[in-house]
Amino acid sequence: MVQKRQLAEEAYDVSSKHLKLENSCQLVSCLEFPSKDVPLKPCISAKGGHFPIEIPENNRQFESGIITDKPTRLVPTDDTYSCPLRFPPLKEVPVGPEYQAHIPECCGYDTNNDDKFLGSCVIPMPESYSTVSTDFAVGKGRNDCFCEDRGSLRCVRQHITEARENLRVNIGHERFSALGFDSMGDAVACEWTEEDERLFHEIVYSNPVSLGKNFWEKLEETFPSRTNQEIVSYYFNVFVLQRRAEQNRFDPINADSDDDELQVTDSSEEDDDSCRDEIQKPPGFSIKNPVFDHDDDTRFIFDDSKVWDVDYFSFPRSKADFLPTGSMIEEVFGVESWDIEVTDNE
Amino acid sequence: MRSKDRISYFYDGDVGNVYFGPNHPMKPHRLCMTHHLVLSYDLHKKMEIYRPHKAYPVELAQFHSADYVEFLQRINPDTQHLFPEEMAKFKLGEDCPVFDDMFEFCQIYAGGTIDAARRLNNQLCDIAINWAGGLHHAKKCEASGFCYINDLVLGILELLKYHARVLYIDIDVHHGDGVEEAFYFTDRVMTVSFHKYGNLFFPGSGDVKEIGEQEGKFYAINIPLKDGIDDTSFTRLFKTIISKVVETYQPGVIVLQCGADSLAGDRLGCFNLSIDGHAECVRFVKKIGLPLLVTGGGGYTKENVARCWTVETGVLLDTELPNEIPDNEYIKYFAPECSLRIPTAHIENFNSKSYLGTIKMQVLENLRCIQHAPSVQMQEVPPDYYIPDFDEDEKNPDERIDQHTQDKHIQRDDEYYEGDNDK
Repeated sequence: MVQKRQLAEEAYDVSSKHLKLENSCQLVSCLEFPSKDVPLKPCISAKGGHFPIEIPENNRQFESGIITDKPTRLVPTDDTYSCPLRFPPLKEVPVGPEYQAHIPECCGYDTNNDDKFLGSCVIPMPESYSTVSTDFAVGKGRNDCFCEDRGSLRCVRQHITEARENLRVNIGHERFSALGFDSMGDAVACEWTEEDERLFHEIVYSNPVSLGKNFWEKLEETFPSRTNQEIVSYYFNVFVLQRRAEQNRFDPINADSDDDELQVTDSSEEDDDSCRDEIQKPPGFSIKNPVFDHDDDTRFIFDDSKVWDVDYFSFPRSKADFLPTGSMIEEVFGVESWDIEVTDNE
Repeated sequence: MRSKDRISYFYDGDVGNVYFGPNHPMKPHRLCMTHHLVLSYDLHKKMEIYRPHKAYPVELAQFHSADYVEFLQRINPDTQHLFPEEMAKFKLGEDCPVFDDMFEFCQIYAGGTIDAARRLNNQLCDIAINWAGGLHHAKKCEASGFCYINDLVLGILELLKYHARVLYIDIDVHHGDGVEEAFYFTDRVMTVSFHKYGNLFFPGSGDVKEIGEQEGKFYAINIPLKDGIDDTSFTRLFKTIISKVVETYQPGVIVLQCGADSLAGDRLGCFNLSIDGHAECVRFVKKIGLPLLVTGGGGYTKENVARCWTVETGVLLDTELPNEIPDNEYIKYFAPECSLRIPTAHIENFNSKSYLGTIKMQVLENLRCIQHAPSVQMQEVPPDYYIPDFDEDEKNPDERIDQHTQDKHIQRDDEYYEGDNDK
């Protein structure tokens, strides 16, 4: 059974984490796969404070929210447990009308049959849909160009311009605009003066987040007449794109257009670039990808005081956290030691 | 087998011009790049393109609580400091920052998935694509993991009006907790999530033991994986499990979340899938032949996201794309190689055969607990579907999996898709 937590929001503090840990450890031994006929057995929590309730025969009562305040905490009271550290707590799935969706009846029709809720057609189904043949040219790849200065800035710019015009002719000017292609790519720079562009670059580079600054706020202050969408559009369609182009030329192996603070230096200053970490990484990988090295023996040596630190049993609150080198418990006892026979790797 | 699938593709140009903030990994601009690449390969010549309507607050409240929707609508970066309690209550700030045009962004991506579901319900298409959607962490009353509105839940609720059983498949590297939680107590939605689990990886849920509760018991499936899983291991496990799920559950429609952070080299992910491996899963689900709603999801190395979803648009259109990316506005993002495929990394696959075997065994055992007893839920007869055959016991895992094997086409009396769709 999955442990259910209270509907009321718990303060995420050490004491509640500690409580969760103990109850979860007792739960783990119930986590087997009973046959479908075994009825659910509500139990009284050893910690008290929760009252058993009958599980209704008709679960639709539950969906309508009759059961609200005190869900059962399904914990056996007489369980023995040899080593609580071997079983990390399961993150509970919360239950109640504040969590689950209300399931509609399957009636085969919808009162909302307005056409506007089906999307507005921008490009209709091609006429050749009814044929199975795919003779018309779709999915052409890159063609080699015959420019004398092939690969130069001029050559690249020319081919991008040609591609843009081909697409515009291909789908029609109206659809080109409707699909947002007017505001894609370097063409966006046409809406900005050279001075504004220079100022934009200066603001981004002189207000890095790593120094507690926010270039975005500065941009909004500096260009009050610009909408946020215009600023975002310039940032990705011109600024980041140009920066990536420079990376491609000077440091292609480390090219990373997702690092908002990356400053590209020319080859003469590469060795002094303090923005780059001294980490060897495989090509195509961002340096921010944590790679867990399970072969590092030093990670199996741990400070005794940390074993009882309940933070090791907390769940990541942030998706963007750059995690520490794994749960100490998993490292010591291994994931496979929970209730799965440990066998050798292939 | 019916004739070629009719594909509806949803896109709104405004969705890419929002910014979560400096150094935030989620960059909606990846959607502009994807869309541009799709059209650069001329794929618009094989499908119809729709601009979705912006979902109304009342539509969002079909799942989310009214006060949460209302707060999302009125809060903005300049006023957020005035509402610290609500910001905390709805888990906004940090991972889910308040940014300009945030609510409109939510309306667009949610509207896309809702419209996609409705087109499928009305049999106006066989496959509907909304790369802007797939934000699977959002909860009924709070934001989570860069997700504010759970478009997948909203889309599934639409599909449930026409289908007794909906199958949800999630191949994002993160557990699809928001969708699972929403449908944890019902057997009308089966949620199947393949994700990294352990080492405090977000969101922390998704153990194989999470199987649903009460009426929904055995209707939540979780496949927890470790770092470094490769194409062979992943696709084999995926096909084995999904085949069994479809055969057992007999859904009327499938929703597939294609989070691209399960690719090698993702900024936040830790798997080692190539684009071909990721796309193989999409191909397999398409081949089943059921109505299909495809969404995006995670993906934090935006060039690879664009590559992946372009390849997968091609897969859904039965079009193999050449590796050389044609000239387009964003070609510099793909330079210097300008190739559609990406290398996998030389990292260890911590998913041993025995571990994967154990997980598979537990999942299949749970599926056996779902009986085919006649009930209201099972009385709806699903349309024609086809479970692509494959040999999961093949000796040499490096060999190409042969999909041209015995036909398991199942005939039903009341076909949905008899003849061409004239609409």
